[in-house]
Amino acid sequence: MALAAVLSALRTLILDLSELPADEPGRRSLYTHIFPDLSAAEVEDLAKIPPHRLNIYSTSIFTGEGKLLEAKLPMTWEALRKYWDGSFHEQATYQQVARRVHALRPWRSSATEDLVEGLRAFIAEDMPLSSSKRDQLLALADFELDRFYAARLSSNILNGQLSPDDLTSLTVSDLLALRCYVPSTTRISHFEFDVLAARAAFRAEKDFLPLMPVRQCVATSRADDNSVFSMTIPTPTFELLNSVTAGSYLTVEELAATYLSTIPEVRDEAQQFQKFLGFLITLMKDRVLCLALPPLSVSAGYSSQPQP
Amino acid sequence: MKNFGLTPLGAGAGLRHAHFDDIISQRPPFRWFEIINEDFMNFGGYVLESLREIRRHYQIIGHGVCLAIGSTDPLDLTYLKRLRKFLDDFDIPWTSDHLCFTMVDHTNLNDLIPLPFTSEAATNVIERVKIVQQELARPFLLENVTRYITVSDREMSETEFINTVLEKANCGLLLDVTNAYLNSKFHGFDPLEFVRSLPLERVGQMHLAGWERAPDGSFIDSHDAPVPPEVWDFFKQILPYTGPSSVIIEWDAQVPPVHRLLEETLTADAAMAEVFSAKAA
Ligand SMILES: [Fe+2]
Repeated sequence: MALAAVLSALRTLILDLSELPADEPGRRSLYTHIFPDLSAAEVEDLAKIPPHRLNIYSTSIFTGEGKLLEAKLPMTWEALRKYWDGSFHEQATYQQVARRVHALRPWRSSATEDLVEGLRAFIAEDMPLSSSKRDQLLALADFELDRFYAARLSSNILNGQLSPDDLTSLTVSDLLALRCYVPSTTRISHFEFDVLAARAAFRAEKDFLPLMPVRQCVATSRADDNSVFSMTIPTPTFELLNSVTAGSYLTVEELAATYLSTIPEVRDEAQQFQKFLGFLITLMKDRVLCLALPPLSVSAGYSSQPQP
Repeated sequence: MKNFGLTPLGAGAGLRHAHFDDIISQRPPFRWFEIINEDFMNFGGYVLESLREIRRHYQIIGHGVCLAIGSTDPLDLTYLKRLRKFLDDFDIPWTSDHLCFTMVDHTNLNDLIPLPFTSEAATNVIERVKIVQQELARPFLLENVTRYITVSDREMSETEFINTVLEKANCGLLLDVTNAYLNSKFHGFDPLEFVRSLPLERVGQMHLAGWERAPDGSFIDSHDAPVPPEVWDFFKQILPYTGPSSVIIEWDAQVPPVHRLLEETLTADAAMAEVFSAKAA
């Protein structure tokens, strides 16, 4: 189909070719050569387009993509520009980076998810980096992808969930029987670098590279006011929460047992309980977890469902 | 039939993230908002919840940037089904997209690239618009884009192309006044003549925007400044031909405070009042 060939040629001219002959006959002979599917009339039409006008589109597209990537994965983008040529201080331009990312990882749909995942794949497979730098960039990308998804995913938070204030009226055994659900907006990941310290430095406009090597388990979540939080959690808790699949749950008792194993230095039971309660309330406030009562047991003449 | 049979809403504004909090807390007297569908339909979280709150108090009209109506890649039916559900959920009476292509060879160009003005390109758009109308089940409008290039005008002019598409696909026109004005500067034609050659009974909505001139004197359609005086004048020249419509101010970059955006919509309303009261007198 001739139209498909014309649109495809325009794509090539805008995205792939940065230097075009300044004169129309020069462009005509180039296009005849590189676009064999075009008719002579179509070649002539395209050759009439001045390169500086095509360049308005190239500039706008690559700047737009760079700005979008920067908005969604700001630390990753910044680190990528700094590590571009293996040097820490020379930052590559938006145009340069976005052009190369687009060439190797074209944006295949209109969804921003595909653009940001393309940047991650570019870092993982296409960038000429030492493995240490690649690992750092991937840690940043994965951390920021967690924040990206936590911010935009639809929430599946249940009705009837408890607030931290509700806990005060419960007995200890009722508390331990509560069910913990992990909302769809919570992301639990582990990193080999201190991504949270990097984020703090980045936000304070300080140097955040190179990242400090340390194993870090991070829960990223979206709270009720839509703020996104990231907090470190102990490794056993990380493993436990990671084992909770969609629709399943664990009990507060299971969570408590795992958490208490991480604070052997606290021997006093009351202190242990207070510490755990503080941890649980933080998880609830940041919406890493939702807590709900177990269903009431149904016996003859009594139903847990409200009566009409 | 005027205004493509749609209710003229007067002047409104493009809804942008930067204004969510002020709009929700202060409820400024905008008549209506146009949203970029793709800025909301793929989201949960803050963005969607803000829109839900804003919709409780304001009329919302849809506008898309990702349909790629002129592309030769297959139409994205999954996108259209999601869009339909989104428009239904928010009770959005009509929507629009651009007469151009944004995807080709399964690559997103993330920009509005003009089409060749050929019968083949027109037929391709017409067939796709019919599918879109069927899927969305509500009035659909196409917007004239800013174009820095002419891909081909050997078969027909831009207005002939637009007329052919709109008539044969039976869809509406979102007349972007600024785009028509800027194109007249880029390509050297009379903007009023251009607009008068369009099927004006199909104009169901309009856009107004401003741009910042670069130091070298060149300009691009950047939507980052107030509507300039020459576009206000041009808008007033067009109004007698279109009649009352729904007009928004598009301000996408260097976004001003909400009260400044409101002032701009009030200027648009005043321009319409001036033209239509003079006409009635
Ligand atoms: Fe527009």
